[in-house]
Amino acid sequence: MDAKQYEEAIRDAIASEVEAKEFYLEISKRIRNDYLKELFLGFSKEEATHEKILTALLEKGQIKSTTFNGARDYKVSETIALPEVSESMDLKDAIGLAMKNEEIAMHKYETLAGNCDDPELKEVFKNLSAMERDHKFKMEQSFVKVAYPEVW
Amino acid sequence: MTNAVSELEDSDVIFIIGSNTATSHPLVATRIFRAWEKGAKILVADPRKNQIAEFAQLYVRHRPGTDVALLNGMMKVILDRGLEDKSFIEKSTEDYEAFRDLIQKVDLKEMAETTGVPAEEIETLAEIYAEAGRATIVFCMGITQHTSGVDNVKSLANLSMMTGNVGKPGTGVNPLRGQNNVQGACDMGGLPNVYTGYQPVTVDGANRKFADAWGVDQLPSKIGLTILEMMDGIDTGDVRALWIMGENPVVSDPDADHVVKALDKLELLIVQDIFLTPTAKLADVVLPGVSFAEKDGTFSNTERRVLRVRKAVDPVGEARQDWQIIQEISNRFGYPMSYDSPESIFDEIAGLTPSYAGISYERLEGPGIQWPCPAPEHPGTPYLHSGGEFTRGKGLFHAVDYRPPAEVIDEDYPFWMTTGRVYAHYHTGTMTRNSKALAFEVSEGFLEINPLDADALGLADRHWIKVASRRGEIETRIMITDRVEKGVVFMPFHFEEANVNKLTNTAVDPIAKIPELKVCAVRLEKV
Repeated sequence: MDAKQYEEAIRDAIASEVEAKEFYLEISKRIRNDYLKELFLGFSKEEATHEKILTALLEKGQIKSTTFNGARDYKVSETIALPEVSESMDLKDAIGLAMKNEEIAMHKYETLAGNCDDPELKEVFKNLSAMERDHKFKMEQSFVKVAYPEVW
Repeated sequence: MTNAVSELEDSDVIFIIGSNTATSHPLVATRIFRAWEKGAKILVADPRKNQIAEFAQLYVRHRPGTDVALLNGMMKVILDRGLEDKSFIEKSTEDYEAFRDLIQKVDLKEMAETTGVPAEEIETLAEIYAEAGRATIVFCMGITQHTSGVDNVKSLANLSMMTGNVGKPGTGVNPLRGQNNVQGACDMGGLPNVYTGYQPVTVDGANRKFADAWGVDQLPSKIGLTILEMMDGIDTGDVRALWIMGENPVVSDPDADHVVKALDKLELLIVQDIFLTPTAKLADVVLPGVSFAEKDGTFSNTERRVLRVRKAVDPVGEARQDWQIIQEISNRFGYPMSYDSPESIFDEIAGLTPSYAGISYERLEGPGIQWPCPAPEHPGTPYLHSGGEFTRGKGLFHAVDYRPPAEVIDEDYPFWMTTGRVYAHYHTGTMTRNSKALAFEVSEGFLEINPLDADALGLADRHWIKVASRRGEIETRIMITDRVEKGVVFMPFHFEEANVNKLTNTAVDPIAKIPELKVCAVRLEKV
């Protein structure tokens, strides 16, 4: 892997985080419920944090195999369909959306790693996939708290 | 339960209200006793002094149906002394202001008069609960079987949230289920308005999913009837046939004489049970089911733990597995079912129930799994609302004012009646009274009465009396005891020949529709 390939991979990852940050910010403006407004704003800030982490990695010029802990995976996200965005979406769908987006990102990097012949670049993609898996794991923990109420 | 039973051992304070824990839930009580041995303080509030009250730092005897008054009094003390958890309230709850405004107006002296509990004791209860590091609440049907049952539970939730005692181990609001698999029956949609996992029948998505799974074009989205509504429906002719499984409403439901009259009106009554219960005796068809020892399957207990039950003996006589009875009748009705085992039914449950989706028989080897467990990789959920996160986002405070019970004492019916269980028997006694050993322990029904009341009526221990309410009358022996205070009487509901539910009130909670089995007004006459 040359430096250019590394830079390209990380820049793509940063672009995805920026896109997600703006996506959640936009939803936070549209959604009616105050609690969800705050929640999406929080998601947006979280994506901004991811952006900063990746930017630091870009400047560093390398990524270690232990940078991200992506070992934990409940695979809860895989049990639901991607919720539709609407102004009146509920908390379950809001967290479900973020969780699902992390899953999509995780699979994207898994695929990139799978299709990559350069072992070092493959390692970078695996690391990014692990990062997204960890984000997904955190979202899954939140999702389980809200998605299965005993209400009748 | 918001928390696991085992966590009780690590609580600093355990507030038990409306639960005769040592008698009705002895294994849960064991955890409480272990906590007590480690120095935890136990607080008990109950109209009848039960066994676990003997271990309490403070026991208070509030009048039947005055739970909200007692709890509002406690919360008033907490507010006045600044013992509320301001940070938790700010971060994790909403609608606090309306609740706080109501509580600030509460008059502690008035609450003391309403409940019969001295103001100083309400203050001590509040201080001990609010100052604990980890305080938990345990309650049972003494809280729920009221016309204010929902208000009572909301008040307990208020108390728990205002002190930040939720979302952490050893805290929470923990109802103890009345039977071993009530949680499972509710989880499986044994309610008028939901499919499994509380998926509403009125929601298109759930209806479509179940219709597809069961191979039918559509399923009804109409909400069904509660048990008391069924009895009324029989009266009006809207309900003409009933299939009762493992339930004995002739003894367990309020205004039992009305229940018998209603069941007599049915065109067809089918009862599926393990003994010929008083209800089964009225049936056109009796289907013999199996006991816990004769079946394979699962129970889901009060802490949402799904557990395997394994067959120990073959079914006795003509008894068949309950699922096979249902399957055979369904097949003869023209809807084919072809399950080959309880496990194949469980696999379908997991496939259709998101909160059970990660559970399988293979994973149930061992101590079981607490739902939500939405994926095979998920470990299950020991306690809910961790980190102060609720299913709706923030915990919602409710401003709840005290309302008296639907029926109060008067000149004609001057005694408060409350009901419950005794250690030797279970529910309507259909199982335990068939055990010679248990029947020997407590062989007949009785009425507990305070010595002062017994004196005033010229009664001695074991005298027979007539007990009457606006709905019916029964005769029973008395037991003179100071477990109940003057003006309050207690009867266990296990005994069909002295069936206290001939006296109890059918008035229901407007939201939960649960009848007010724990309070009615009665008259006593020496026989």
